Amino acid sequence: MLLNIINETKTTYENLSRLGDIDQVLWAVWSDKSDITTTNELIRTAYFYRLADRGDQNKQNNVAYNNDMDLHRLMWAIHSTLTGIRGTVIIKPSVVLSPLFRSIIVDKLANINDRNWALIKGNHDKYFILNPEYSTIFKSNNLDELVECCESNNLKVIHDDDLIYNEANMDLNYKHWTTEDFQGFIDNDESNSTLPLYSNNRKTITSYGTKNLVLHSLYKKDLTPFFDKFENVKTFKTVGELNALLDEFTDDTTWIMGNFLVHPLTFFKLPLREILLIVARVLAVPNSIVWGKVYDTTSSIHSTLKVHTLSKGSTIND
Amino acid sequence: MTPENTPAKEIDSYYSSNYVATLNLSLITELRKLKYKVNPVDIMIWDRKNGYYYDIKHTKILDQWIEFLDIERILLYNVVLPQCVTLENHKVMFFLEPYAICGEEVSSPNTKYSFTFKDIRFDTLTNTNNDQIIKLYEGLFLACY
Repeated sequence: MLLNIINETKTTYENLSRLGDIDQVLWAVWSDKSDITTTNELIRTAYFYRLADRGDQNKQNNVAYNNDMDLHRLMWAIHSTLTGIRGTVIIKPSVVLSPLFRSIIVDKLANINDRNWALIKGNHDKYFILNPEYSTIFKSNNLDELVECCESNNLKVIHDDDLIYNEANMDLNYKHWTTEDFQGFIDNDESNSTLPLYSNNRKTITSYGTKNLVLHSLYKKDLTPFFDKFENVKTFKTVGELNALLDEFTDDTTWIMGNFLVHPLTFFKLPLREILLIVARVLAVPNSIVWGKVYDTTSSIHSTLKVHTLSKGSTIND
Repeated sequence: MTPENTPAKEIDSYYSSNYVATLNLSLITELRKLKYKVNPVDIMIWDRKNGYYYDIKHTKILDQWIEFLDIERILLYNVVLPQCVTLENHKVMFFLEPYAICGEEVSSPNTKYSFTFKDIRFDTLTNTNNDQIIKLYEGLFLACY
């Protein structure tokens, strides 16, 4: 697996070289193990970072994952292609850094004026920061040996006590998550966490002339006035119910998903592959339109309509 | 012909073509521990004037190589992408890790060097003709001059 930048549109060398324009930091989920379990965990963690800053696409696009390159090769790939990157945060699979803490790390890096640093670390090896400029000195994948490499090359190793690791807060797999753990999210769903479907978009999204409408129950109140445009209207609240509806409606359907597929409640409770399979199934229903956030794109409208008018008339505002 | 009934010069030739010039595992282990001290591509391990630069215990085999090939100095190389080291006039070189990437001069008109992956078990780069030019691209190497 090469260095994978989770990025929807910016794929040219020019764009990639400027990838770090915003905060100059790349978040690289990396492991030196390439077994199936680690690979799954690695991708799941990378997608978590993709989700963690849902409001900020630039940060989402600065996430990479890799588990079959040595660190010096990875750093060389970053240094030679993503030339705008000032620091790479190496994150082990299943380690979660909150958006707020990630902002703190970005600020820390922005405030280092000395270019003579190679490594910033806490008292653990769960995550640490490397300077890609010195790719050739990272001759080991082990953190203690990396410190030795930096010291032999007279480069600064910064020990930062703020870079803490607390398993209870920072491990994606700390416990087996249940619905009760997300009660706060569920309570707030109707007010804060839901992707809002604004009144001008309600009319547009229901005007594509499909026979069926499937919607998350949170949007029932918003869309009730438009139900008579459809022959069948069904709501769902859980993944199980959505799966059943996917079996039932295999064609000609408008799907109103909102944030359901990328919601932490869904993300933490299901294996990533299963969620991605559901996403693929929803997006593949023929002659249909999907309104909702998914994992591999920042867009929220997806269409398999043969003749569609997405570029004409009213537009959907995210 | 077996080595037992062969003249001395031919024995040298026999061993150089049939056996891998190598070191004892204890020394290789000690040298691997030194590899993170390499700055930026090589460190001096031994020279005739100062002897060993580091506290290395298992030197018996290497001492025999020093005497046998009349070696003047020994360098430890730890090379990674995009570093590249050209070896010239070395007398013998040892691979210290299972795999390494080298470039050897070839006679093709289009390619001056060819990339080759070396395996510590089978490959040797003893410089018998004293005119071999080798490029080291990746790996841990001990070169004796």
